[in-house]
Amino acid sequence: MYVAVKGGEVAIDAAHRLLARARRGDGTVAEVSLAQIEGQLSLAADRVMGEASLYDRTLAALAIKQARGDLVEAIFLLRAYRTTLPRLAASEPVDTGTMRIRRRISAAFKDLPGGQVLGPTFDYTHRLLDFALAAEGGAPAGEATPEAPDPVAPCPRVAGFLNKEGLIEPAAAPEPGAVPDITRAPLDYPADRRTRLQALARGDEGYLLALAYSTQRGYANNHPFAGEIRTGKVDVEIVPEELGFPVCIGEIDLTECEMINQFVGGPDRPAQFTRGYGLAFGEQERKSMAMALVDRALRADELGEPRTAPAQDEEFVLAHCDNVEASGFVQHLKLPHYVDFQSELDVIRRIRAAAASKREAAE
Amino acid sequence: MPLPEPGFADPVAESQRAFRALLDAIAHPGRIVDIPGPAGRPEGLSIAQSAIALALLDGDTPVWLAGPCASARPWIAFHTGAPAAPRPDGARFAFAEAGELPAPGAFDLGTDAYPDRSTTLIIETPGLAAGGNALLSGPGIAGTTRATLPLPRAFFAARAELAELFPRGLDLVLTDGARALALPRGTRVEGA
Amino acid sequence: MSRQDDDSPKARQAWIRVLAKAAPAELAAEWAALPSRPAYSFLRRPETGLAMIRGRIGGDGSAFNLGEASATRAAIRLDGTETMGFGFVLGRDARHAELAAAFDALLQTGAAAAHAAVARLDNARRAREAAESRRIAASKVDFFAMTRE
Repeated sequence: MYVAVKGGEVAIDAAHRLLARARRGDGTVAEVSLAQIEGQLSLAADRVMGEASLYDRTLAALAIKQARGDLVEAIFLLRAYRTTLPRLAASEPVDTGTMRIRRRISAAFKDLPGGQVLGPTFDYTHRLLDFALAAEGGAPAGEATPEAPDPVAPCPRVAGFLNKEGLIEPAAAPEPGAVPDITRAPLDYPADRRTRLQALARGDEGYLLALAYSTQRGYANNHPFAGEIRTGKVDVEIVPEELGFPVCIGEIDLTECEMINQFVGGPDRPAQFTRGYGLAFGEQERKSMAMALVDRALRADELGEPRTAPAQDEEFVLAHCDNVEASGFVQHLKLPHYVDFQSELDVIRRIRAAAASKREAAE
Repeated sequence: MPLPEPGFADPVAESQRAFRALLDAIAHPGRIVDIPGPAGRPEGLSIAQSAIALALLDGDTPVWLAGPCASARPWIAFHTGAPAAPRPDGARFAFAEAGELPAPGAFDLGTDAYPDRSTTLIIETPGLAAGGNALLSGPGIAGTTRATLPLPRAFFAARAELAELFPRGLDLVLTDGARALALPRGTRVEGA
Repeated sequence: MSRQDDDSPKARQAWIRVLAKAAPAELAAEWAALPSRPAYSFLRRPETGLAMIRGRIGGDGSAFNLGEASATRAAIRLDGTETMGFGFVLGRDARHAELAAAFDALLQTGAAAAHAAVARLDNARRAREAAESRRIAASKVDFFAMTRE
């Protein structure tokens, strides 16, 4: 328990000024602009959008600048801002099959319709520091990028053509009723898969990465293959009541990962691969892969697998995946707890005093 | 579809004004407040009802439109996005006219844990006035106050039966043109 | 384009898509370049809020809530007419939503200059997308070529 304390206004004001000064850094160096963060630290902005659960690149850049590059703090700022806005609409489910591809690979099939498109990936770089970037003007804008004669061909979803052979589990029939929403109704357990995916989509990347890694190391291993990973733009559509037909309101960048996992089968069911799904704002490949692995692990009950590992424990995974909640609760320990600490000191002193008098009495 | 009438010309300031007036009314049951409405109001709602709808409804507040108020459905959807409740007891807000009133018990009365989830019922009445036969008392009223509440006697009788369910209950706002008066669930009404 | 074509949802959906995806500055330039700009009034003033973005499990299953996006809406009426213009765009640009609504209304009246403006916006965007897609396609790994018999 903590109680309100008064005082410290002058010190707090000074601390805020120090924060502003620290944020600005060396005044002789040019100030970083939001356009620079959006354009040149775009993956940081994507992570902030995803975990804040608000797609707005410029605001994500602002949050990163304000938070001095502390992404978890930036996520907190953007998540808090989100609560000030009214919900105007809910979109139709986006169709990732029509994505305008920026990157699309499959680690399970080399020959897939539409082909493997590497896009702007870190894969195949040597992970050596590039000192050319350290030099002023070392990275010329628009350095000649080769162009293929034709744009990327349409890329049907990998799961789609495996499905035709019946080798992979089909999508469950769409569930009736309203789409559950953790921003409106608190998480409750057991949660259905739609709810879990919403929580994982805004879950902390580091946390999901660690859980996903744990499944690969044997804690609920389910033999994953990266069936398909795709990044690019999709249209967003809504159906306004006054129009009565769907209209496009713009496009967003998404990264989708479909994991193909160990198969299940039985007397009443032919052997089939199972699927785990990840979807994230912007370019968040690692996040969407981790999400897909954790999604699959959380399907243990549904697929009749024994729950033996942390990544399969729905309450453990979902209750701790939100870094706004987690950092809030850990960091609240910095707030004054003087009264409860005093009371615990009193208890310890009393225990010691009681023990001492007992000893004296015994001697 | 005919074009919906416009909403508030200055949505932020005007909704806050309507909200503040309503707050004043609810804090002082029986007091008549002025609630200026939007530039254009829909068929089916009075000025104060239109202003209250714009100020309080959004996509998370299912609304029930009783009787003639149902004509305002396109306008409410257009401006507020509030979904239509399938039944009165699924509504956070309900709009009605004195002539075609559902029974108070038909609405959501909230739960003991969440009494705030009850329906708020906004009724357009003819001839709302301060002073009159109805004697009001309860929280927010110093002693007693009087008002003219042009609603059927049977409606108040049914409302009085809900009192024992407190903290569950139904909050009422009576409107007449651009004026409004609130009767929260804790207000006792005699002689109406 | 005939008046009848302009009234069908399909044609309207197509131009609403172009208007929503246009860069706000491009749209403002096209509006300023119109030979005549009609007077209009707001039915719904520009308002910024959120649109919940939904996906499907596995890309083809049940819908779930992915996260929200900032969005701005507006609706206008051409003065002296019963024509409503609809604007709803991702982002927080009030002028974008307003001009999308104004263009939508004008397009419904069959104004040739407005249709020409939308065609220009559409072509410019398609050209940009195609050029970017050709750059992306240059990073295609063509395993088919290596394994073809």
